[in-house]
Amino acid sequence: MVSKSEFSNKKKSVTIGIIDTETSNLKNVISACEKEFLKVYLLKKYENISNDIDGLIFPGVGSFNFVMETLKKKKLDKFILEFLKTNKPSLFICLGMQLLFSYSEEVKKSKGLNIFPGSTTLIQANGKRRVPIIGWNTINQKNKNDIFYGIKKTDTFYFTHSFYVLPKNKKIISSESEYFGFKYCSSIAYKNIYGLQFHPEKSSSAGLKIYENFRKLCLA
Amino acid sequence: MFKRIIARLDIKNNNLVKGINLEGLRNLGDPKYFALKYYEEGIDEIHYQDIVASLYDRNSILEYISYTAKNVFVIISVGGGIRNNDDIDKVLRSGADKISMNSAVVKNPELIKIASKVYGSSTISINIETIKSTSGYEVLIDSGRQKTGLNLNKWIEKIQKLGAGEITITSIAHEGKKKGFDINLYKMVKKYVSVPLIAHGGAGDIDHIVELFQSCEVDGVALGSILHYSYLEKNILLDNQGKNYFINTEKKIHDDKKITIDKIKKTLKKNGIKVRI
Repeated sequence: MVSKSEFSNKKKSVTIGIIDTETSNLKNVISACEKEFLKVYLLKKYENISNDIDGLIFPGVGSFNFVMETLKKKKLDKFILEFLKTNKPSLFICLGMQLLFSYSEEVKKSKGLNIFPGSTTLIQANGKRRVPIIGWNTINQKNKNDIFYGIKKTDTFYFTHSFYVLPKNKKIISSESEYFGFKYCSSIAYKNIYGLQFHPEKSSSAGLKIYENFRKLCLA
Repeated sequence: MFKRIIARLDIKNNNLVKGINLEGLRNLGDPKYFALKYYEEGIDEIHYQDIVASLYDRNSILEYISYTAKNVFVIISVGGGIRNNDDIDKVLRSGADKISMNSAVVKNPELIKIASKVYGSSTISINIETIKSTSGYEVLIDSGRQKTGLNLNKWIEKIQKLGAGEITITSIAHEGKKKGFDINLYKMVKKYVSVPLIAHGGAGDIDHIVELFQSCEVDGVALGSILHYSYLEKNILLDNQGKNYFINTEKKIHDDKKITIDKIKKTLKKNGIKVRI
């Protein structure tokens, strides 16, 4: 963890802002960052530091509505929009990715950050297809993508979710996964914005590779 | 989707313990050592169960979670003595990803609803301890000590409606016995379960796990004895010659079979069961 005053004398080190909405498994994201030599700065409310950090991670655990309310209350929604304008790399994980879209049908129809048109919808349980999806799965990459550099077809990632995203613009879908015959978007990429439905910090070595790739993107 | 192989670590005070039918606990050593070892060997998930949480303070388990979360990059689920959102918060903040509840939600089912609203269903896992009685399977609490009069199937339906994101069913009669799983139980509950289902209690040999996945629709399996006795530390400090004898005998059996996580997974794969290797 770094303090604000340390920003100025950084050399080759990479400092990541992490959005802290107080419901997520932050500690694990921090552990993964530190393991991959990323310094971490926690953002609990709006701060004027977009220019001082090299990248942003928004890890999401919790319910859409609840976390969105927290973002608004702490003006973190404003911070995210401001940071995205810098075009520096950002990584939105699980609920974090879902919040990038226009709205969700979770709990009640609630508005998201609306960076991308589209929605978040409940996965329908059906026989073997039990919901929530909890467990390991592979991803079928749709296009070449720096965040997936070195990731193989057989690599597995940990998923835990009841909702999935339906982007209006299909071109931002960077991978799909299949769950008992149900194909859905498991990650998105647009310019320097990356969204993952799975948890790289919980996906053993393949997941840590994604943090390593993210660090490289921040240095670029 | 891959079948999940979960290491279940029961913790009492500062020790990994293992009993039989949730009773007669034996100390096996430092839980942190086992968790790290299992991660390095390719386990899919770590489950810490603080089995005396309601009797003592729970700071020690928070320490284990915190240490483990720094070094282990797979899911860590935690159960034992979690009674409200404050408890959940503490455990998640220490680095756990998933909460497992049993006794508290039997006493106050609404807790499932409250917790899943804030943390999301997939964070809230319910553990059910059950035993067969004349009228069907009954739900028990407090590590199998207390009867509730609840019927298993009705309880499953109720907790799912309230927002449970995952269910682990422990067969008390099979737990720690190492004679195989209660196959009929997991076959029977299939039509009631619409969330991921984990079987717990009975694995003594790899064949038992193969049989479970081949005959039941379970999404994962929680393993205790079969792993712990295979991965015992060489110089485990024991306080009692009787325990010493028991544990060394168990260890010898496991050493002879050479059961490892890798071997379990490879055998499952060879038998057509999709596992992550």
